[in-house]
Amino acid sequence: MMSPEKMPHTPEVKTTPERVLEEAGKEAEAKKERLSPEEIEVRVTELADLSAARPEVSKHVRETWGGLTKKEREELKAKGEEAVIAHLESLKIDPELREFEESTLAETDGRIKELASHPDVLAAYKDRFETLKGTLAKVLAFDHLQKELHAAENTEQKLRLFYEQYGRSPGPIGRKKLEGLANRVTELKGELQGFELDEATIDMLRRREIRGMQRDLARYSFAETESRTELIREVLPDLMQGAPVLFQGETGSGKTQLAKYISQKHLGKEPAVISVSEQIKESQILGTRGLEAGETIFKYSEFVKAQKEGRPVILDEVNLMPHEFAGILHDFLQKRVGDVWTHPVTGEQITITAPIMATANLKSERYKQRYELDVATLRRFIGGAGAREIHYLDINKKDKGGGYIAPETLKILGSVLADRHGNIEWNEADAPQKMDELKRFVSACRKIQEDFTLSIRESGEETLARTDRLAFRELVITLKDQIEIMKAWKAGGFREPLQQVILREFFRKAEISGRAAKDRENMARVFIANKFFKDTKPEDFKIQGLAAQSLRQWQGKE
Amino acid sequence: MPFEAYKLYQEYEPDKYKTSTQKKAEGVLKEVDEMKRAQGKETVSGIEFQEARELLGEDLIGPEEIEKTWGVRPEEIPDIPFSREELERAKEMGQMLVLRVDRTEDGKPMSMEAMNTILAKRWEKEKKGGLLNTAEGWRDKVTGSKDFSEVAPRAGWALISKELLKDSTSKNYIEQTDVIIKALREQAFKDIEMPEEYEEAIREFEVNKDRLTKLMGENWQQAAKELAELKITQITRQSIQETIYDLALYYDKNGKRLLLNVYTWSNSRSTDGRLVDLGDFGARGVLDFGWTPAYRYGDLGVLLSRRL
Repeated sequence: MMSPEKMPHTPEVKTTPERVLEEAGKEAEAKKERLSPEEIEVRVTELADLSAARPEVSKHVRETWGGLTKKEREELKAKGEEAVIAHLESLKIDPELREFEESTLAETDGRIKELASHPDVLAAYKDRFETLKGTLAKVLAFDHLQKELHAAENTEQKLRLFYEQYGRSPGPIGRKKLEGLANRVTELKGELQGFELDEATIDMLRRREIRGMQRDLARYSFAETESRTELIREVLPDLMQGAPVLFQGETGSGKTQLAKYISQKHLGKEPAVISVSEQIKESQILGTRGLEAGETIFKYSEFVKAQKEGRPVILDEVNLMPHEFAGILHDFLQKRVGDVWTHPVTGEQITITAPIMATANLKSERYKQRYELDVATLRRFIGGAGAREIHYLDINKKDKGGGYIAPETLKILGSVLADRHGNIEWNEADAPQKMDELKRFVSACRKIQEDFTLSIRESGEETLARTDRLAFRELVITLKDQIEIMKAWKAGGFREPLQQVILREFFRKAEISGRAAKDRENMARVFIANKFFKDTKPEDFKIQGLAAQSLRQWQGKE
Repeated sequence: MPFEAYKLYQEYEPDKYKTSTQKKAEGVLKEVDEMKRAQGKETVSGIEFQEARELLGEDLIGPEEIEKTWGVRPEEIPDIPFSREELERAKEMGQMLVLRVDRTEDGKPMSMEAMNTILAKRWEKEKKGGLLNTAEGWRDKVTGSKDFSEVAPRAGWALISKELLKDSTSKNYIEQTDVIIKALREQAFKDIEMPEEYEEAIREFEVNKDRLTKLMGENWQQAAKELAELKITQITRQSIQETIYDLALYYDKNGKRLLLNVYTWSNSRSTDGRLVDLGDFGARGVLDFGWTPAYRYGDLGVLLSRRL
């Protein structure tokens, strides 16, 4: 166990009830009623719930005032009612909503005051708060050790790779440093192994993990799960050297989002995303000539501007890049941080400081020849940070017993369903049923993604007809779709059965004909096989050409 | 009580975080293995325990869970009496593996009374509901005070179905036994050699089946007594103490209530000689009924439980 002096410092702060009492100019009153330990416990639990909810309530009030803090609101109010009305009108905020949020905050504070004014309750709450602080200190210490271990492992790996790549052997100082790093890694592993985790600490660690994913989803529309973390750890050292990377995968597998996430979170730069198409023009790559105040100027493209500003460039669907630009592309792909690239039109010398990341959709055999990346381009990625395949999360993942599992998808969807404390608002009686619904949903989505992947790879109807696979030509249900369905389910307070939400948010959102309609039909079939839509009528799916008889057969009614 | 989101996937990350107790338990098992290896003995538990843990995930209830729920650390952890193949089969069948102990921390029997006392306060605090619906009802109407406070589950490892056996509802006690035998032959021991004890128990049942069917209509008390004492009943059905023990542990560990709206027919008899069925494990706790063996109902089925 980590010694107390090594534990991170957790600042001495006043608890929410103390602050609320202080703001109201009150202190805990002398004992007026005698409470049993059980009664105190109940009140402390309520106080904890209210205190945990208060920041969110307060944030809502701030939002309904257009971001004004309490002090700013008071200053505005002091200017008079007209100033307040003008401010609110300029923001076009529904006054009813503002009143609702303000009264909620006032009632929250009122109840906190009421509960905290009993000295025994406040004392018990402070005890609980101190215990939580102790747990938090442990969590931070554990987190810190893990981060240090990852950093030490990365540095060691990077240095060894460096010596290996350039065929050098480290000198005496280099050897000593490498040895020091290896020792530190062993030491940290030992410390982590010996770290005494109790149930409360594990609970908090897991909740923090959920919270972290919620933040990442909100900020980057991406959440890092184990397989993605592993991939990022593999490519990041090369990317930092400016080496290019290619992410290839099925549509909707999150390639572009992953590239954006790496750029924003790990490289700390906003990337320039260039959507490549067969119609892309030279001006979109190098820039255009124009006139400004009567003078001819050259306006750099986003691509060049990003290079100048040291921002990573994401070439989306690079496989569609017309062959005539291969020369420029190859030139760029060979550059590393510190190299200089000369603009072919302006002659400006641009020092490279950020990498190129590219994505490519895996195409079916039908399109492969036309859209596959040429070997020369592919080789330049392989010589960089690599040409990596990105598939749907959890694809082909099974437990030791051979059953399909989807832990990473469940982790992300769980963080979408949870509140900021890591809880899902399912009551105890409903939780088993809701969990079952969710797992069946994930299972159906996985089946669709797997069959889609197979359809893309094998293409031929004959291969698919021989198995229990269904052919999906154009449509697939992506993680993003699943997240949207979860958000809608949560927004409805989980009152609706999940199948209603799937129907509304997925099937009814677009009426599609042709081959895609067949894909939707197959999707409905997969959901039915996973115990959804047992009594849904054909017209409710909004799928053109869906035959009532087929549906009844899938539903086991004929 | 809200549902912790991480419960959706934590079963897939058994090694991500471990409590000190878990680490200690693993350490002890490792030491035992090393000792056995040093003595030239085959290692039965250690590696197999870990394998079983990896294989079954949340469906393995072992020493750490016992310590957490009942506050008692088994002095010796018995070897798991099932092969990997049997455990894989059990997983396919939706069974859990539970280690049962028969003594509390202070050496008293792990009776219904003891289990209820251990959990009542904590569950109330954690808003987990109750264990027995109601303790007085169980004691006064079903078990009698002696059985309530002195009879414990049979100690050792057991494999128990988490859901009622398919097609076991709406069947009387003898018809349910047929379902159990079918599950043993066609699922649990399919392509696996059935232990002699089972063969013997099945033979005994088949020899007496017609007579017992007739007896049910003539003298249900005698039929219930004989049915409860049959070997097949004893080795494949839980006692009421065992059902309560298993339900409590599984719920305490995984937050999932088994037998939520259904009942399993046990091998125990009530004070008036009826065969006790129990279940409907909601927030108020496990509910009981006692029926004559000829009774049938749509929510009454049976869980398969085996100790060898």
